[in-house]
Amino acid sequence: MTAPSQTQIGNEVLKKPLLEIAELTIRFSSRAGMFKRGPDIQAVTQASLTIQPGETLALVGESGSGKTTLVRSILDLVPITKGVISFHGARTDQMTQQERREMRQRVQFIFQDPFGSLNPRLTVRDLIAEPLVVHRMGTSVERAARVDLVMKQVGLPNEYASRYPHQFSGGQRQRIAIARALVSSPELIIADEHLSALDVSIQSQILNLLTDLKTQLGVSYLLVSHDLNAVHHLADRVAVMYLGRIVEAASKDLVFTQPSHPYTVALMQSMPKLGAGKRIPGQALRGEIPSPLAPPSGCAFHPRCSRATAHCQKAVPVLRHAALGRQIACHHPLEV
Amino acid sequence: MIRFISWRVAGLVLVLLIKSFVIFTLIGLMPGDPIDLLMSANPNMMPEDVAKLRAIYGVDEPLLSRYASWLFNALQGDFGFSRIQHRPVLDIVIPALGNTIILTGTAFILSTVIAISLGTLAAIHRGGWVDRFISLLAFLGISVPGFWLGLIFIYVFAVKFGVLPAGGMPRADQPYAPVAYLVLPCLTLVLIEIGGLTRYARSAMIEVLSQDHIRTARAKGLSKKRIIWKHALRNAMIPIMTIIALGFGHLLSGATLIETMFGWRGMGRLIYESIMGNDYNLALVCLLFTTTMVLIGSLIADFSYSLLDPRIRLQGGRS
Amino acid sequence: MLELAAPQSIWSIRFKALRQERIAMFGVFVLALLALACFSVEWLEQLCGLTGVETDLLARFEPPSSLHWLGTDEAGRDELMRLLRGGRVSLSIGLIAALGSSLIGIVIGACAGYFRGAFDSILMRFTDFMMSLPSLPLLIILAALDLTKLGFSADFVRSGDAGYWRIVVILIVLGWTGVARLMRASTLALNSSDFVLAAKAQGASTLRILSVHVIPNAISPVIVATTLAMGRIILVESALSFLGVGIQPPSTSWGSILNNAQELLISDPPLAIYPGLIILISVVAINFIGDGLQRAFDPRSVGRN
Repeated sequence: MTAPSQTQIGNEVLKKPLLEIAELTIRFSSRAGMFKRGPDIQAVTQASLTIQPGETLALVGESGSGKTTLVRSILDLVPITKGVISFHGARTDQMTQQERREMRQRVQFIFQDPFGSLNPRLTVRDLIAEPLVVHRMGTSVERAARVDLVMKQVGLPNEYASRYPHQFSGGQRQRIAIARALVSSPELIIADEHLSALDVSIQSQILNLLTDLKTQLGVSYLLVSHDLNAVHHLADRVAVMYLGRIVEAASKDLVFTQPSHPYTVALMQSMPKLGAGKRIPGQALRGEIPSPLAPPSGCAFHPRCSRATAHCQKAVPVLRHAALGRQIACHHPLEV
Repeated sequence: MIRFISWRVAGLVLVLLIKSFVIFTLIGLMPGDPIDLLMSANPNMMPEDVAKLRAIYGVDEPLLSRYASWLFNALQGDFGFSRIQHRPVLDIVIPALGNTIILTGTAFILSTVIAISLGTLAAIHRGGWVDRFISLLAFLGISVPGFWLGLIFIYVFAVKFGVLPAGGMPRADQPYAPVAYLVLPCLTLVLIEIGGLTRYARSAMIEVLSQDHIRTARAKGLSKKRIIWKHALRNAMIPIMTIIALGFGHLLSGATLIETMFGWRGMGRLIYESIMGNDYNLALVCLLFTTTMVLIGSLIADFSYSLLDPRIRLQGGRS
Repeated sequence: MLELAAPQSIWSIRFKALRQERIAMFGVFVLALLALACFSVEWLEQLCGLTGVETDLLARFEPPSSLHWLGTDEAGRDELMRLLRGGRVSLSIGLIAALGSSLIGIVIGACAGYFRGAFDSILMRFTDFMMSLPSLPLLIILAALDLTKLGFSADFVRSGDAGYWRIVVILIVLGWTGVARLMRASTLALNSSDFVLAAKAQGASTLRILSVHVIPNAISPVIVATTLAMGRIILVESALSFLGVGIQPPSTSWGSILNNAQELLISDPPLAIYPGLIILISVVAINFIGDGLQRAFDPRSVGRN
């Protein structure tokens, strides 16, 4: 039915993945007027990912690559056109109401804008406790204790609990958002560019916090980012997206030191310090990412690829499995 | 463009149909029906006569069929008779319409011109005493009960000093010139409208004046006056047209009050009297005419938008 | 950075800003004084030994004196007390109708803006339809309706209460459209904000999202509009009562006192001036408050760090 999952091909332990996304396609129609429908935008095309328990997967790509759309569809914030999302092996489109609710409790989301994602009328305590209230977890005493605990975990002093979001800095607000994501003891936290709105100095603080939490709590992350520094710090595996498709997915080390897809190579070129190991012949990234309204034919990357051939213009490369647990979608990948 | 107009006109007809039905239903809920009133005028009627009359006049039929027969007649130009004046309704309504147009038309022109001028003046001298004075006057204008202003004017000009008539239509046997009868009602109506219009014009002009291309024009050194008249006014016309269109309907409501107060025989007073006198046919037609005028007003406003703002026109005129 | 600052909700910030609007606070003072006087009129009457209700045909049209501060009216009643009684009706109608129409407008606007789609289109067409009806003629008809035809008993229809509530109801029925539009606009803007999305991701019920997240954040323009609506409603009610279709004897409102004003202009002009003056003062006070609220609630006053 679906392509053989990661666990069967690689010589990995046969564990059921925490989250499995198979052949996901998300298409919107844009609206040009009140009744007219504009052209369709295909934001995500046949994307497949898996996340193992305890693993951190980073989803990398330029803005416009469809990463945010993809992750938002996991919690049904964006409708899916085709494909299947499975949580602990259970398909989301076949879940009961109860199972859906449980999934929402166990998968938490952190948004990019630390101010916009916090209701300005609620106190910090109420904001953090919201998941507990919605999922009816615990008595009010237990909830208060839990909120205090996660506030300590993220480094927020207890006096902050009765204050309001606008009284805090960006970094503190992001801590509040992280606390909110932790309070229901989730198994998976999806963080959508949650560092990009912060100052560089604050970013590293939050990064360290997340790393600590990862070690302490064993929670899985799905990290969406275009910041390779943060990715290198936190991720176990990296998936690279271009114009709605996954073009490469492998362990962090492989992706950074031995990238195979020309796009990944070009991305890593911008981070020479991180790519330990052999230096890849130069391949600077030319041009800009095309608009999803007018995707190039064949391989979407071919206009900017220095290795492109006539074949690349005609045939769309399929994501297939290669050595060392890597997945690649390219007609002429760099040999490793 | 043609598509735009025909689309809007079709919409207008549909809305009119719905409104006429709604008003028809409301009128039917007014006290008594035509037969009741006949009965009260003629206490000797027997119940059988009443039942027969009811059947003849179709008063007992369900709402929809009554409406249908009214509509059928109306489309042929027959709007029925006025119960009170014993004349065809149209004979009464048309002259009244004319009187209202005289009153509201004059008030409309005066209030629009004055409001735009004052609003622009206030916007130009924003923060200064001119602005504060005009804003204060406008503020009072929206807070004052209109009919009370009318009363004060009647007292000062008619009762105390006797220079203007206290109300009514131009008459030959009175020492006042015909136009004197128009002065007080029109003045009152203008003052009622002008507060809101001025405030809106002022804020529209302030926004336009602070727009970037105005600043560019000033930087280029064009004289202040030219800037105002050429660029700012043209850009401000769109929000101003909005308020004019809305003000038109408001004006007709105000006319109802003023005409009744001053005895000016226009549509507004006719609406009041016909409802008070349970003159169903007349009330129905008056309301329909008033509603149609408001609808036509907004149609004209929409049309002028598309003329003023080429973006709307190019999109094929989606409203 | 704000380690030692006390908790400061957005409401408290705005309230503080309002207290600094001196004109608005003056309006609050005047309105409060007026309301206090009007709603304690019966107590005041006892205190001064006056009446605004009982007639005394021997004391008609008396000029202002130390006993009757504003003189007496055409039936010998103390004018000041009569005005205060009228104020009780006019002010309460203004408040209740403004609150009622805002409540309806909030629900309709929030639903239209949140659910969107066909539901929104229908609601908005309906709102546009209601807004395009000429208000005063429609109010006159609604005020003149025969309620027995709608199924109410004849006794109820004749009672003073029915007259009062009839006016309140028709003012609410014709008044909700402005608030609905404001609410819808705010809700539409909030739909795409991240904290609403976060609540949806959490799986919060629609009721919770609307009541905890959407409405509290969308409500500021509605508060301003409701205040201003109160002034507008007082003006409309007095116009209707002046024409004889609003509040009717034996009840009094400021407008109904002016019902025979045109005759009064000849017999005792000041009596035609006082009611209008008091309407003007109340509406000016209310508009002061509304304008002050608008400035205090300007979202730019709560800055981001």
